[in-house]
Amino acid sequence: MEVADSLFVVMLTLSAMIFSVVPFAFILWYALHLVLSPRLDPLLFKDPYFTRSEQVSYQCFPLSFLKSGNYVYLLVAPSLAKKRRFKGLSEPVPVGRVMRIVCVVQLSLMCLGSLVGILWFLLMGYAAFVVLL
Amino acid sequence: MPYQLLAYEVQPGDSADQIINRYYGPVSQLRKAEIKDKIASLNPHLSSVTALPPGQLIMLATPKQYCAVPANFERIIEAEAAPGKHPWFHQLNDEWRSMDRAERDLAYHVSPYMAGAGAASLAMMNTTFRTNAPLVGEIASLYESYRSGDLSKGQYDYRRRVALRTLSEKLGPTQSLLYGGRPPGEVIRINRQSGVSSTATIDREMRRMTGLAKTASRGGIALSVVGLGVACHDIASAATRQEKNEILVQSGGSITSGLAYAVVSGVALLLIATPVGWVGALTIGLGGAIVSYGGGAVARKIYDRNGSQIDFVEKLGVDHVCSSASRNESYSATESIISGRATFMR
Repeated sequence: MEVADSLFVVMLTLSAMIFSVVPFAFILWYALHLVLSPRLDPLLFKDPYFTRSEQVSYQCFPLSFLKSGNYVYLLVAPSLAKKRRFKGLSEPVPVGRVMRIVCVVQLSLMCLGSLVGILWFLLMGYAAFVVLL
Repeated sequence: MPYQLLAYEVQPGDSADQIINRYYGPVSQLRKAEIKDKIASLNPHLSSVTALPPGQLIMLATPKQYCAVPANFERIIEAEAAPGKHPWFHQLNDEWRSMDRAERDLAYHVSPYMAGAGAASLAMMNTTFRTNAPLVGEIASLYESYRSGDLSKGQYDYRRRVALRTLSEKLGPTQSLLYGGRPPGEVIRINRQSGVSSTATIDREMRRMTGLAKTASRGGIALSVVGLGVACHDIASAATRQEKNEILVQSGGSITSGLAYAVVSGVALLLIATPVGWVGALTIGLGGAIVSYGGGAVARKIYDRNGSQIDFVEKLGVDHVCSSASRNESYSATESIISGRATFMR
């Protein structure tokens, strides 16, 4: 099989994986944003966890999704999140087990999508600079 | 009569009397009381003009020659104090109140150059400010690097001074034409002709800056939607099946690249690089648009080199959909022309 044929097949495969994973991950992210923001903003969206400029910029789309993304990160990997952003957080986060499982699914899909995305860019870069030029 | 609107930050030790003396010259007590009333009407957010806390932002209407206040100047201030007339100042004031000292310091240095791009009265100055916009963006991104911990305070102060000095050198005499020697506290100064709404430009610049992040981040999605609509039209118009398939593959590659970029940058921002301000969001959004375009172009070339063995357009039924859509557009246009003629003839 020619290199271009193989490239094309891999490109189609990666494209299919991205289309099947990433939109679902973003839809889940949106749903989590709607649920977690009202619940956790009073507890977490303040000093010292978010700087003043973040408290202004993260109020509206699209940066507000970074805020809810950090909440998901806290629920999935609390020890890592507390080392990075939520230092000194000792209060329990009022989120149930089901929601935590959904957060794990969402972040896993995002990580999987990122991995496939990186492979896609490696493929495109290889195609652009090695095969097509 | 020309005058100026000024967004002024109250400095430590400032009093209303000192501010009036600085901008209106030595005036009688009666006149001073009148001017204080006018300042209060321009600044409804102030609880008291006599007790101004340091750091408070106030708006002043000042004669260009501040030692020569004309007799009818109060009427000008009354006109400026109309409710809802200065959304740019209220937006600036809202942002100002939420900023800490370092952020205000940065805004103080950068705002004249940003405001100058919109409020400059000469086309030459406007062009000069616009061509230096990347340097302004660099100054803003230095601050974000400092806030995220990538730079120490000392590094940030040094690099900011260098960047501001470079910007000042590049702007050269244009900044002195607009602002002369700018005293501390003068955040933004706008030249105004009586009766002319020249703050429309700064209103637009302020709205544009705060809207840029939203627009840029939506750019990737919008471009995909626009791209799909354009691609469908192009597919319907394409002469050969090879060309139809190339267009479809390019669109698909572009959307895939956009999605991949969105998910990778999303995870990267969460795990690695926060906080993110409007400069970061703008950069990410523009990066998404570029990546989408590049991904589509490469995908098309791969399909072309592959020899086009697969007829996606026929297998997915895209040809039929896009042809139907194109015909429907023609029918709608024809119907409206016919109905328009019928109405006219009635």
